[in-house]
Amino acid sequence: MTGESTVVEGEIVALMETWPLQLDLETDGVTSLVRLHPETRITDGGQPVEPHDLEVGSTVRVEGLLRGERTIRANAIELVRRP
Amino acid sequence: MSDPSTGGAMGEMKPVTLDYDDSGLPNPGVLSYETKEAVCGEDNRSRVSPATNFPYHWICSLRMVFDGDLFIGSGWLVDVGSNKYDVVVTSGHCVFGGGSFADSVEVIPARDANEAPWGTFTVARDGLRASQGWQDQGPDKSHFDYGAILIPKTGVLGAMQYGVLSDAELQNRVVTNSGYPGDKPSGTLWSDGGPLAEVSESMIRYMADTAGGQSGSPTYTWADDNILRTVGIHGYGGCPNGAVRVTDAVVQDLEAWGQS
Repeated sequence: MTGESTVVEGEIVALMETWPLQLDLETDGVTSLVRLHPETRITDGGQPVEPHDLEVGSTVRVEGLLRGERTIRANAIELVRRP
Repeated sequence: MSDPSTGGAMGEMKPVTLDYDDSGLPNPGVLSYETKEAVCGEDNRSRVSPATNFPYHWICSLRMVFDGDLFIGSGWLVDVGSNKYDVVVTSGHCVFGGGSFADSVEVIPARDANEAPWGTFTVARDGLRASQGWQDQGPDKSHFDYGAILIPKTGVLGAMQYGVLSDAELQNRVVTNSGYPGDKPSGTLWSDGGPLAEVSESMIRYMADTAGGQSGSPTYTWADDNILRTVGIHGYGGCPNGAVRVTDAVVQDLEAWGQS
């Protein structure tokens, strides 16, 4: 369902160092690729934070658009829990 | 296969002054990076300028387009005996992700800000390669996170040596990583060194500082034969940071791609 809006919560299991970053997000044993873009909003408790605040082991809630096979173009990422 | 459309034509190898600054990506000037996902403590990276000296002239700035979105990464020219291609090694995730190859990748060897001393090379999908393990996206996919970009042979770009070092040879070794991070001025090359922290069958981890944009960059060391050899393909942030280890299996894939 490419282009559909989605909200996914999961744990960052890998942080791939392209720029913008790409994340592997694991939810109930399923891994999704999350691609950031220049306008991706990253927040912690509603306050803006920087991409470098994303860490392996963090739990995040991602809002974005589905792009192909288990791939999300992230518009917003909320840090739910840090490792 | 490849269209060197954005800079010096292949065969001419003319220096090019780039007219873009990767605008549209976050402005590094407004970001603070005292502590970040891949800088372990103080940021010790230092800028390399110009980037035309050994071994930096073999390191490449990459501009990848996935689904219309621009990403930046890094790569390095490798000598795998190909008479057909200049082979640029990078991370699998710089060329393949979400079930398909990138739309295109622009390669800028020895880039220093807006200066492209060897021109630029834009490679379409059919010139991109990724390991089968990375394309399969299995649970251990990070161990196979490598790929390549094939540029029709120029005969002048040269190439970096790789090293398949044993566990014993890698123990306690200091490595250097050099790449093109996104948190520094656009298109600039940065380096840092640090000790290897972990060595496994297919990965190495180290405390050299890196940031987003350095995926695909070489992690290298002076080997015991006094040759500078790349031993890892950087790809993952964290403390320690991580790279796919250069192994016989990696070299076999690179050699096969060079002949493909």
